Amino acid sequence: MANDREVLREIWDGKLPICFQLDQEEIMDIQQPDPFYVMVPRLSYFPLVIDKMKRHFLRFISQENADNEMWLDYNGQPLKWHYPIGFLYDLFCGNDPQLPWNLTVHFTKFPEHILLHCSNKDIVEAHFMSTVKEADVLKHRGQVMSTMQKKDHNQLWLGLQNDKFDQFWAINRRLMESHGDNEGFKHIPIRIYSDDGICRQRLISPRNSDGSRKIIQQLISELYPDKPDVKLRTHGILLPADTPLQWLSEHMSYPDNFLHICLC
Amino acid sequence: MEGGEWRKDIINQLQSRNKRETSTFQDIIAFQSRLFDNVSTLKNENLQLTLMNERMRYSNNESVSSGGNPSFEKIQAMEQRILAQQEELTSLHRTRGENAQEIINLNARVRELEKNLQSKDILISENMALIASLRAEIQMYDTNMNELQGLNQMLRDEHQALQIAFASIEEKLRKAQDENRSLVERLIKYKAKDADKMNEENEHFLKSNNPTAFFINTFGRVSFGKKSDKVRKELEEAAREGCSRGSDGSGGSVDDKIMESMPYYATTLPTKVLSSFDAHDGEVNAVKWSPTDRLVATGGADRKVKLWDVSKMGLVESKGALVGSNAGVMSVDFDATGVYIVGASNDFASRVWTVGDQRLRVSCYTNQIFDNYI
Repeated sequence: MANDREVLREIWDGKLPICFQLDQEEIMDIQQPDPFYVMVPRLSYFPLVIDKMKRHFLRFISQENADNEMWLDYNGQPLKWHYPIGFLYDLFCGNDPQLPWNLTVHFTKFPEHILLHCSNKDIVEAHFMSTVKEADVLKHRGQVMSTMQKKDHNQLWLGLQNDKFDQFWAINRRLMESHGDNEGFKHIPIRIYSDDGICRQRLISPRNSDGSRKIIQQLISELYPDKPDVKLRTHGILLPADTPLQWLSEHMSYPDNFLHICLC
Repeated sequence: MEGGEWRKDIINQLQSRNKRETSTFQDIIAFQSRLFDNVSTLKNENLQLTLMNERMRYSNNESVSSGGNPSFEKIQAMEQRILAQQEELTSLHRTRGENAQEIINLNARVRELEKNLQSKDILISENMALIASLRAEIQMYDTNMNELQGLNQMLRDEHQALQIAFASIEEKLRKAQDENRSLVERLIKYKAKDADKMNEENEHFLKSNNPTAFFINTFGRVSFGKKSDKVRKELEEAAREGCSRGSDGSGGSVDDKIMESMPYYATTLPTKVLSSFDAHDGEVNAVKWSPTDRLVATGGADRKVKLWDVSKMGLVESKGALVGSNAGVMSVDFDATGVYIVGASNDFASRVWTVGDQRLRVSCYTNQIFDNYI
């Protein structure tokens, strides 16, 4: 059970200052556009928070590009909108904190081979719900999601979209409950990313073969037997080596119910 | 609640993260965004004010320029007027030319319309002629029809008169037939009387020939006066004996006579077909002899009653079919005079025809029959 409200609240309240700047090549105005500063929740997604920024920059680009899809990059690396913002920051700036985070806005040359298209917010919702379902399949064989009603799904999404902690957790709490006689999930939904952005997803049980709780240290030795001193970072913090996986999954998953963890 | 060093560590890290990343920048970014909004609204305002300023300056300029040399002004105004007038003139010229063109066009159109009108007139007069000829035709047909109606009426009258004559002749015929029949009856009666008389005579003759009776008569008369009682008794006994014998014999002969005088009916089953013929399409439901003529009426499932003349041996001649029934005819019968024939059919109706002209006279359904009889 995810009952450690203090941790949940601290994670939920995490925000990042971001400075958007328009790509120099795309400016079609005599005036240099001002950079656009904004605080965004770490748990949210870029397409949900950039409406105002987009309106600001539209005035400075040529009209023929105004209908093009906008995309972002950091130091020349396109940012994938379907990852949570906080995770993207951890991935690119985890070892080298840089605040506010400087991102470049583009309206042309969409990197088709790297990014998915995102024409509206419904696509973000669809992606989010499918990830939640995947996590539920790993945790409870999909039983919880399938018993929920459409309005519960909506509440989950709207809670995230409107940054409403109580609205979101009223539903998400049910996804974090353990089912069956043995305490804990069937498997932990976890994705581990290395520095170059490559993702590893394995079936990981919250328990060792002898029935005791599995902790981070054991996970690392299981996955990276040759690198015993590797550290894991999520939500901008380094995880203590003796943290149990079950607790970690219940409290420190992103809203899509996955643990997105960076190696460092 | 679970606890431990790791949890404390995590909470501390999270708190320091939030302090570092969030609370440091929260206020400054909020302030920045407010400033940002302010700047954009001020920019808009500035733009509007510039516009207004520009407009004011322009109107000012106009008012300043109006204060120049009045005579020059006037000349200029007149020149401008002349120019305008000239322009007006040219435009008027142009409109005149257009009007003339239009008049020509209209004239052409008028001519065309006149031509149209003429052709229409011709058409109308042709149609009038046609109508007149058609009227005449109608009149002719009317008179024709009247004539035919008169003719028809005449024929109908003639027909009626003929029918009346026919009926009276028929009546006469029936009377003659009745008379004939009564004559035949009388003849038969006389014949029967003759036969009775003959029988009587025969009987009488036989009685007188009977020996016993004769004996009694003769001896009865003789014995009354002369013979003694004894002899008489003996004789009487003897006579009784003889009488009983004689009466026996005579009784049997009398019975024979009675048998002979009774009408004699020979009953034989028909074994030979005299003639056969196809009367109806489908089954034949009823057959009846006419009481007067050599006619047979048959009723069949083909909804017809048919009359057949069987007077010639082996040759059956159709005398006609009586139609009008709506279902198969189940029974037919003649009236006593053989003039009418009734047919009962499966449509709950009975119909009466006359045999002579084979016409349907009466047609009544179940209810009507009841009504008529009640």
